[in-house]
Amino acid sequence: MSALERIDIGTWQRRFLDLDPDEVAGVHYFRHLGPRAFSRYFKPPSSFLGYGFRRLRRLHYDPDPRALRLFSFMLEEGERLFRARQSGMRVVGLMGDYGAVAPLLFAFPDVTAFYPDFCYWTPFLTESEVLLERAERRGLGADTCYVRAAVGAFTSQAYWPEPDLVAASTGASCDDLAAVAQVAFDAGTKMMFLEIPQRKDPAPWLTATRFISVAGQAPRQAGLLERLCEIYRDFFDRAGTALGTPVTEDRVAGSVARFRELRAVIAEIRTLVATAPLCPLPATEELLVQFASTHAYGDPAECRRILDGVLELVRERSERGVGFGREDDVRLYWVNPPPDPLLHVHVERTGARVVGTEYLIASALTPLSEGDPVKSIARAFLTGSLLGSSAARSETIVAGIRETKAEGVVISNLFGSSHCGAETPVIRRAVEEKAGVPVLSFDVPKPAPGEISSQVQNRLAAFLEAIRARRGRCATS
Amino acid sequence: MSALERLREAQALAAEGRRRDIADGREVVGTFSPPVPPPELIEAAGATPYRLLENRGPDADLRGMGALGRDTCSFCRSVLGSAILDPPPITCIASGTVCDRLRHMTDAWPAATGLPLYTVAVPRTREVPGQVPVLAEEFRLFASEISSRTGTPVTKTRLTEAIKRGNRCREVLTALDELRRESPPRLSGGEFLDVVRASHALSTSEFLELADGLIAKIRSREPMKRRPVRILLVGPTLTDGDRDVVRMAEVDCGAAIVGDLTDSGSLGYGEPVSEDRDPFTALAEQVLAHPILTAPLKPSTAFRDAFRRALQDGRPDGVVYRGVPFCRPFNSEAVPLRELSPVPFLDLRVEATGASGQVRTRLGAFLEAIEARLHFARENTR
Repeated sequence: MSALERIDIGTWQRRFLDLDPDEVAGVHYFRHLGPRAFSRYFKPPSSFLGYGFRRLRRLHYDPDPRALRLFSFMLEEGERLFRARQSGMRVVGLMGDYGAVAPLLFAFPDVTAFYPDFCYWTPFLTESEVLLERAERRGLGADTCYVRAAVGAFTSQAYWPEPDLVAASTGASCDDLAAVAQVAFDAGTKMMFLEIPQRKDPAPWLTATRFISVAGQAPRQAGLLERLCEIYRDFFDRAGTALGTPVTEDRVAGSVARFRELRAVIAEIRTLVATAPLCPLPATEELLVQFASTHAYGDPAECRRILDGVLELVRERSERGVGFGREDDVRLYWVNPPPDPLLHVHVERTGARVVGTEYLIASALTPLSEGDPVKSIARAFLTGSLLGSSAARSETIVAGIRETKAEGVVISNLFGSSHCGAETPVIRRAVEEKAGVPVLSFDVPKPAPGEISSQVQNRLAAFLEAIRARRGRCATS
Repeated sequence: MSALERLREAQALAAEGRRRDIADGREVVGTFSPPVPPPELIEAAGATPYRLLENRGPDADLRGMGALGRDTCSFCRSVLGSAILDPPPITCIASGTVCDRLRHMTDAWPAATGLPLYTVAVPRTREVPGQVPVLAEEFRLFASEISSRTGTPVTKTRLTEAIKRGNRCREVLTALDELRRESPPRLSGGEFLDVVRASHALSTSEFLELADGLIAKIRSREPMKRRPVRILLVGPTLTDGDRDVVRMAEVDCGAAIVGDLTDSGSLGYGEPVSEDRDPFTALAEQVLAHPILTAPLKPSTAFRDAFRRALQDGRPDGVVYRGVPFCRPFNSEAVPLRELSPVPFLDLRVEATGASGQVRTRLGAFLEAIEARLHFARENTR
C-alpha cells in the first residue's frame, strides 16, 4: 500500500504546464460543434481563479490529470452555457428535481441543461456574499438555504445566459427552491412548473392505501409511478412547444440509455471509493462525480468520457493498493452536500475519509432499468430523498452506514433550508439508535475568505478524536 | 352573555368537549391548516375535526426545537412542542403537504405523540394538467381511511350535507367580515379572529348553533366613534398565544384590522364549495383555488390576486405583513406584495411564541406615520 499526496493549486498550475499540449488541446466540450478554440476546457487553474473562484487557492486536489480534467469541466460550466447560447443551442434551467428531467430534456436536439440550484456553491467558491445580498433584497434572507444565491444569479445574468426555459419542479421538493423559482418567474424568465408528488410511508393504520414494495427501495403508494409518468409525458408536450421542437421516442430512449450508462459508471466509482482500503479518490472529486448524475454538467457525451477516465483511475489505484491517507483513517458518512469544498479537504487533512454520502440526490444515482424509458426514469426518481419522509431518508442513511462500514456521521446543515434543519434531529436519532455510530451536526458557516471557522474545526477534531477513542474501547472490550 | 362571549367560552371549553367525545368512543381528528384536509370530509366520516393551534409558550417552543431543529418555523415548533407537553384531545392527526416544514413537523408526530398520521398530498402547481382529479382521488382515499376508523362510510349524501353545513359557516364568517370592513367598523379584527378560531375548534353544528343571532347582534351595535387607521393583516397562521400583533395594533394603538389574508381569519374556510357537483371534485376545486393555499402554489399569481382583492375590499390605509421566521412560502411573498401595495406596508417577522417590545415600537411608529399621512391628506382636502 502506498499513499498519494494531494496537491495545492500552485502544483496544479506547474503540472499543467508539463502536460502534453496536444493532449490538452484535444479536449473539448460540445464536440458535435466541431473542435473550436473556445470549447477547450482543460485549462490551468489560474484561468479559473480569473473567473473569480478564489476558494481554489485553499483547496487540495487529486494530482492525476483525469481528476483535474473533471474539476476543470465542472468549473467551466458557466462559460460553457454562454458558449452554448452563442452556438445556437437552447439553454434550459432545471430546478428542484434531481435525476428525472435532465435525461428527458437531453432527448431534445441542440439543448444544454444546468441547475441554478447548484449555485449554492458559488458564494463559497468565490468567497463572496454578493449573490446572497442580492437574494436578501428580494426577501430571501439568512433564514433561507444557500440556494438563494441563485436569485442573485438570475437577476444579474452574469452567471448564465437568459435561459430559453426553466423547468422548475415544485411539490414534494424544496420550498427554498420554489421561492427562488418564483423570483425568476417574476423577473420574466420563461418558466414551466412541474409537480413532484409526495411518496408516503406505509403505516399499520393506513388500511385503505395500497403500497407497492420493491426490494431495496422505499415503498410507495399505488398509482404514484403512473402519475409521475403522466407528468413527464406532459413535460414533453410543454417543453416541445416552448423549445419549438417535438421530441421523438427514439431520442428519448437514446438519452435515457446514455444516462443509464453514466449512472453505472458513477455507481462503480462510488463502490470503489467506499471499499478500497486506501481512499482512491478525494471527497470533493467524488462529490463532483456524483453530481454529474443529475445533468452531466450540460454535456452528457463529454461527461461520459471524463467519468470513464476517472473510473479507470480509481480502478487502477484500487488494484494497485494506492490511495490517499492511511488505512486507519476514520471512515465518515456525510449527509447533505457541503457547499464549502474546504470542509471535505479539512477532514481529509485531519485523518478521515468519506466512504458514503447522502447528498439529497439519491434519485439521480439509482440505476435506470431497461424497458419503457419514461417509466424507468420515474421509477428511479421515486427512490429519491426529497419526495419522501424524513424517516425514509434516515433509513437510507442507516443502510448506507452499514454498507460502507462508516464509523461516524457528519451532517453539514445549510441553515434555514427547508430540509436539512428539520430532518437533522430525526436522522440523528435513527443513526444513533439503529446504526449505533456517533453523529456530528453543524451549520455550515457563511462564505468567507480564509480557513473554515475554528469552531467547526474544533468540533470536527473532537469528533474524530472521540471516534478513535471509541475504536480503542471497542478493541479492548 | 352575548353571542360573542358564548362562542369564546365554547372555544375555551372545546378541548373538554372533545375529550368527552373521545371518552364516548368518537374519533377526533387533529388538523393544522383548514383547507386540507377539508373539515367536511372528517365530519362526513362521523368524526370531529379539531384544529391544533395550541401554543404553550417558550417551554413548548423548546420541545419543538428538540424535535425539529431550531431553524424551523416557530408555528411548527410551538404546535408540536405543545402537544408533547400536554397531549391534545385528538385520536389521530390529518395534514396536507402544503409546505416542507409542515411536512416534516407532521412526520414527527407519530414518534413524538404516538398518534396515527394521515397525510393528504396537495399539488403545488396548477400548471400540470389533471391536478383536480388527482386531489379529488386523494380526498377519496383519505375519506376511506377515516371511515375505517369510525365505521361510517363517506357517502355522497353525507358529504354533501357536510359541505352545506360548511357553506353556512362560511356565510356567517363572510357576513361578519363585511361588518368588520365597514367604515367605521362594528366589529374589531380581534373579535373576528375569535369567531373564526371558535369555528375551527367546534364542529360545524356546534358553531352554527352558537353563532345564531350573532350577525344581528353585531349589526345592532353602534359603529366606532372615530375612523380608526384601517389595516390589512397578511401572513401565515396565528397560534393561540400569538395575537400580540393584533392586540398591539387594535388595543394599544387604536387601529382596526379591517381585513386579513390569513387562514386564522377571513380565509379560515375559503370560498363556498359547490353543492351541485361531485362533492370530492368540488372540494378539490375549492382547495386549489383557496387564497391561502395559493401562496405555496407556484406560480403564486393567484395569491397576489387575492391580495389585490383584499386591498380593494378592505380599503386599508396600510398593510401589516406578519411573517414568521423560516416560513418560506409566505416570507418569499413579502417583497412582491410590498411592491404591489399602493398603501404603506410594514414587513414584520414575529416568532409564534410572541412579539417583543421592538415589534410594538415598529408597529406604533408605522401606525403613527399613517395617521399623520391621513391627517395631512384631510387638511389638504380642506
